[in-house]
Amino acid sequence: MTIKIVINSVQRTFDVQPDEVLLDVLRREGYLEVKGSCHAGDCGACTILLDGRPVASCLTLAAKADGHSLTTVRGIGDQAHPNVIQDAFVKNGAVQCGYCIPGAIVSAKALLDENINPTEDEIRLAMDSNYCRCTGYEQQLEAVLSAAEQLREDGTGKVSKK
Amino acid sequence: MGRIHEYYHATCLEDAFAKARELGSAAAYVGGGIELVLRRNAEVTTLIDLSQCGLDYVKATPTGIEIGSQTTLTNLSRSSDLQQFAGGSLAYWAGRIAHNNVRDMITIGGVIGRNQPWNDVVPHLVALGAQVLLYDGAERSMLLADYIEAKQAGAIIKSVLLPSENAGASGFMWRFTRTEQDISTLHFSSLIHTDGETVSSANLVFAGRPGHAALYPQLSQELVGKALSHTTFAKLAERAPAVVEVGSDLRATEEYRRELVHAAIVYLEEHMTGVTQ
Amino acid sequence: MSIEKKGFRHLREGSYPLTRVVGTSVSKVDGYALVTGAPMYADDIAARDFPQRLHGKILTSPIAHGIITAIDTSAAEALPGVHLVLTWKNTPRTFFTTAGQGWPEPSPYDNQMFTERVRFVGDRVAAVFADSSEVADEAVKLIKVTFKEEPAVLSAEDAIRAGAPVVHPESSKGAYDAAHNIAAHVDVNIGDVDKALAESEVSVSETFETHYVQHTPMETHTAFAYMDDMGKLVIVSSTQVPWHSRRIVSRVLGIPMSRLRVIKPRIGGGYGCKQEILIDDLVAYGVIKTGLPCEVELTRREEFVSSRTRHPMKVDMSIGSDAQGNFKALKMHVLSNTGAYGSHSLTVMSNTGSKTLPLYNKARDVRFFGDAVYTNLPVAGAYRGYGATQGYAALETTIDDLAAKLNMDPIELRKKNMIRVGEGSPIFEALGEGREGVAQTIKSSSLPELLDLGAEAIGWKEKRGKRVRVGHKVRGVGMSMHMQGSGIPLIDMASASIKLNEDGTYFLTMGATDIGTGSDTILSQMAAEVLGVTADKISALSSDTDLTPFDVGAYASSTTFVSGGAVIKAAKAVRNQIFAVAAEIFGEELDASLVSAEPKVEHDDSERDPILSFYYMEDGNVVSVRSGKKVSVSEVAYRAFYEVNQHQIAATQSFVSPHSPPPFAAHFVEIELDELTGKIKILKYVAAVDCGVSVNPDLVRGQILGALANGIGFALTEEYHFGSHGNMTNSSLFDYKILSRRDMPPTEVIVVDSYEPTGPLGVKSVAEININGPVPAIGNAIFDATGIRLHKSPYTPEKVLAALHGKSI
Repeated sequence: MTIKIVINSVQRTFDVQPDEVLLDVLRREGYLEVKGSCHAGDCGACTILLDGRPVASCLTLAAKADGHSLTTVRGIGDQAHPNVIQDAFVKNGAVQCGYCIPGAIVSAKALLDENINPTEDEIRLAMDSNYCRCTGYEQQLEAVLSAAEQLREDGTGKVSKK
Repeated sequence: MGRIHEYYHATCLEDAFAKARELGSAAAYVGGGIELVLRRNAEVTTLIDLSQCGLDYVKATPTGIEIGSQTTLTNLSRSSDLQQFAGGSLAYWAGRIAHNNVRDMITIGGVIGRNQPWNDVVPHLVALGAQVLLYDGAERSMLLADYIEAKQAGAIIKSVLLPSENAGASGFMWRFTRTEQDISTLHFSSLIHTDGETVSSANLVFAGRPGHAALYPQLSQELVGKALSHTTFAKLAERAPAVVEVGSDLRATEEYRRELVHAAIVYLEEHMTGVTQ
Repeated sequence: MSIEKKGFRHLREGSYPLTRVVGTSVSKVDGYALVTGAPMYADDIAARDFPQRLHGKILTSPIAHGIITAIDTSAAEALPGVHLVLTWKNTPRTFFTTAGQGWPEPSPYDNQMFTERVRFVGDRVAAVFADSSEVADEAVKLIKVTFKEEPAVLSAEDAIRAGAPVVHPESSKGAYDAAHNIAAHVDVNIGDVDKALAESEVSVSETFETHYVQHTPMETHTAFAYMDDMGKLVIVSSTQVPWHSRRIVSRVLGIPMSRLRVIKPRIGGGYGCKQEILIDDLVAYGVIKTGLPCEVELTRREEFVSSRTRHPMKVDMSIGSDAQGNFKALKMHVLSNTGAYGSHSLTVMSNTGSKTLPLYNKARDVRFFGDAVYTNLPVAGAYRGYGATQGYAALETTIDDLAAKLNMDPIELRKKNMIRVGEGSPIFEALGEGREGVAQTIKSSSLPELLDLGAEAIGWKEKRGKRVRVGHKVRGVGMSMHMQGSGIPLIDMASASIKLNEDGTYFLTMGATDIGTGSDTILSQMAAEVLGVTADKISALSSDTDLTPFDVGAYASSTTFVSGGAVIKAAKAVRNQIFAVAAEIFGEELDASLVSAEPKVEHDDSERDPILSFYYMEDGNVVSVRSGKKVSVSEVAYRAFYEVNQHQIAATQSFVSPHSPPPFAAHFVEIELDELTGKIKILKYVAAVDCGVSVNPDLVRGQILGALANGIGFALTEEYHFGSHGNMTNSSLFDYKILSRRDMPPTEVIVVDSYEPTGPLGVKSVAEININGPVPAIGNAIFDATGIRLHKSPYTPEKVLAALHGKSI
């Protein structure tokens, strides 16, 4: 079947099987920033935004996303123009092996799009799917707090590109 | 692996039901779709998507709060109506069980229809006295507790109703887990009506056997007419472990789950009386 | 000496040379690439560069022990899309070890590519390469295997019982006594420990048992291989040990190293499990047989069941002391379960003693002995902590039991007996990694400060022994003390090359293997420090067996110390060459022997690097001490490349050290125990750490916090469950629970820098040590709260409650 999806602001059309999941479709189509790990919705690595909300792409049928919009970590910012959250992750030592990071950052994006003044508990809850085996999470928490602070200072209230 | 040939976006309940009836066991309804991905059914060749059937809502009606079956855990947690209902226990927990990248996928209809592992929602709804509104050509309603005992094959879960008479009662959930996002080793939910001093009615629900939850009317009855006192709950805590069905699996043994049943009642007491035990 | 507090760091003012780049938290060199999801992991590169590659799937044994009597692959081979089916019948029969270690290899050669005798549920029976993973999966199901089942050994105790089934009845070269299931044996005896214990005024003997856990890297083992246009076989693998991988694959498949190249891309976490050659042989052989690019990506289930785990151990610990708490005797006996193969069996067990007992060097009579035994259970291997974790579980809990018996504060007891600067331990010399060790003298230690600062941070004095109670919850505090090493002395070798570019920037190539730890970053910082530039002037390329010099790889907490030594030496050699050209430009004399002298890593206050009396580096310039003249390094490069006495300014250096200075740590924890459920809640965790100089403080803190998260999971929630035939029953992240961010307790990291004179720029290591604390520290906190000692990890609520109810755990 054919599905139409807006990915990172670009309209795309894909031929997919009705039972294929987004993770497989996206990686096949070159969106390699979406990382697969457990393929069972348990680890958060493959998290992307579907209409601005975080979903496990390994559990989301591609057909279900037909007509919707997706955001991957590359849609949030790229190396030349990192988003404040991405910048804060790098500056706070929140990245080690990096495999969980694309998922963790899109979770943080969904949170900060709604709330630029989150508590620590709200941050943990809004990113609790995103397992990380390297960092112990603390510096990622600090990164999101720091990104939120910057957003408040910018006064835009929107997690935009820097 | 079953091969899905067709993904059908139903336009309304009637459309979905007609399509399902035509295909019989070859069709499955898609809510969040998680279970269909995780546990594929070789028989199913057509998926019927309900997301365009207008079933994502939470609204206050004269009879209670009606929750459309396609409402996600996130939307349950954000509903101000639900935050008010029975102390807000459903809204509170809907935002905390499972994890953030599935809370926007898991639907209330999906968890009821499919007995998903993130099933703390269902036993809690049973405790809250929820009814399900079914559609199978016509609308009808039944108690969720009854629906679980006798699932209505083919019928679409249209919505869940939390009866308004329970809005002022005290809803409570205690889930014992290994880590925050694990499924419950033991789940306990309750809804208790009081006049501030005496219990007038109670629903106690335990899920102590893997994949199984039940209302315990006898245990519930033991609270009715009793004062909100330590004696009342101590008696219940002593009695409950012998009554509640428990089982063993990798998360815990039967014996340990029995201890947790006892603990659950102590936590209930603390919740109801505000006194640390 | 005054200690200056700077964030979580405590610096001893004036105690070591000032640095400009080292000691700053520069951003990771791969940071922005990683936060934007750049396609840099093995499967990303395979998907991008070889969309038409073959996908490999593995058929694993469903039984714990038996012989394959028949194997029929015809139906699988006939399936459209299948290119290759491999079994023991059509693959090399070379025996080897999957452990990626130095040479000669200390682990037994008990493994083959495919086995005729299956030894655990998950053992490799066959593999299929097909056009897609779906087809490969389907083909795997079509392989018909007939097994003749044999009795299985399902515990370490059973393995050494008389008449136990033999796991490796075939010859197993390098195993200690395969006929009796003993893969490895150690016995180090100093003095007469039994006599000393008998004569001690006070003694305690305890047994502690640790359990099966897995590293669970977010990226499972992934590798692909292809034949390049010149006919060279290239393996791109998520490995911690590219050189060991090349050596082992070369030997097993008979490919000359000149035709074999191993590239390490970015790695999605290792923690030890990728110090193992699990699939590199398979993808390489797939390419040889099909001529097509081949990839294998382990599933999460395979990662649990078939890759590597932490050796479960039963450790008997006895301590004898006088009435004042002065240790007289330490006796540690280990029964280690290495699973079906002996990967790291000897060396992990050696570390259980060698990385723990020297911490208490006051005891004169010491014995460390034990066996690592084969069972028909999942295979153990290297795992962060590497045996020390299991040793500390026993040692640090037994010390608290002794403290209780002596009625002493556990911190005071430790202070009385701990190793101090200027001291050694006979264990260092007697016990190395699978062979004799190397004598060591401690030259840097902040242990006294770690104990004081950590105790203060947790509120030790106010809280210990108080058993504060809130309803059915009771509180307690516990602590533990640790050391590790910094590389394997006289074994681990690293090398690095640095080339100067015309604009005064540098290209650094090294074998050091960045598996997410940040070694590319901190090693660039160390080079920049010596070369007098900022870290961004260094471009680093690491871990490619064709393009970079050798390194043993990322293990044994070696990278900062050993690879750092190589980088410092290469940087100094390049710097000296630059000085020589600058001298020409200035028209000044410079003794050629100063330029060509072997660069030094060790720091000696009395003997400054002599060449620095003539020139030094400053902001990309060479400055003459004698004349005050200054020239930019870029000018030096242009002259050397294009103008006068033309030559490439470049150097390759390697480093191997007789020293392995231990980092130190003191851990403190406050818990609240729910007596109704047995559940332990950590109220606060404090890790006080001395890792020498912190090259990059943010990355140091990250290493500490990451090890703690993993260690707390090990202590509380992570564990393998087994069915009746040794089959793991919770092989998913749904059922095997690592900690999420909601499970992390408030944690305070305290770093007290010390200057390690044997290390490059004063460094030691930090990677492993902090995984050792949670099991003993939390165990000691439970003891403080309840008076009950648990002797088995993990401290699950069910176990804790059973102990509270009087059951011996």
